Amino acid sequence: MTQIGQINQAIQNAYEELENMPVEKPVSTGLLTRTEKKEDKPKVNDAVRLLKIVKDKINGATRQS
Amino acid sequence: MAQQDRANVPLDAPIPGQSLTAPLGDRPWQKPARFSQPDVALAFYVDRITKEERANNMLDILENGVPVDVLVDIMQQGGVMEGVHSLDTGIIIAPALVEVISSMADNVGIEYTKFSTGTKDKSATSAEIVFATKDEPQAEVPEIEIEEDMEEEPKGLMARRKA
Repeated sequence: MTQIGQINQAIQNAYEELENMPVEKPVSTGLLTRTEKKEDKPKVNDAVRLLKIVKDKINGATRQS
Repeated sequence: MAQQDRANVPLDAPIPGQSLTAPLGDRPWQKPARFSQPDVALAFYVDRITKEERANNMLDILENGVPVDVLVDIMQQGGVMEGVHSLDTGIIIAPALVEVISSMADNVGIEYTKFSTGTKDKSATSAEIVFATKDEPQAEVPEIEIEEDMEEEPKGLMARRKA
């Protein structure tokens, strides 16, 4: 695989991983907050995390306009 | 070397050992990178590509048919060569950069390709040609008789001419 092929693969892997990422539950602020077990946050790859941040920002910007 | 491969020889490639001609640590990529955090490196690129002139140039390139991932790869390789960030950081920020550039192109409304397919028509290598033609009967090459009677006249300033 060429270097460009490798980068292409890395980019597509990040997109796929982002699609398969579980949706975060909203933080509960109700009465039973203390009794609820805190779930550990899944470790996210840096590439996927940055991609998510950028996607969220872009979607937020388009929603505002 | 087969005739087909001759066109694929990279003549602009570095000479073997060329990387050893500079003192160790003299090249930008041999020094510690300016940005070690992916977030900061991404911010650096986003800041650069969103400037009007650069954005126009970049969108022209996309409009000419260069895929976004190829453009991002070229950009991040340039960053590595300039010592802006490491190669690993470049690969980490690549997907986010693809997304930023794609959204810029979407906003402007140009047609572009996001991912290169990577299925280029590959010309056969010399080994493949040899294996493919191994069992084929060789065409007989007619022998050409070379006349050796002709003597070449000596040339040059000091040559003696025959009378």
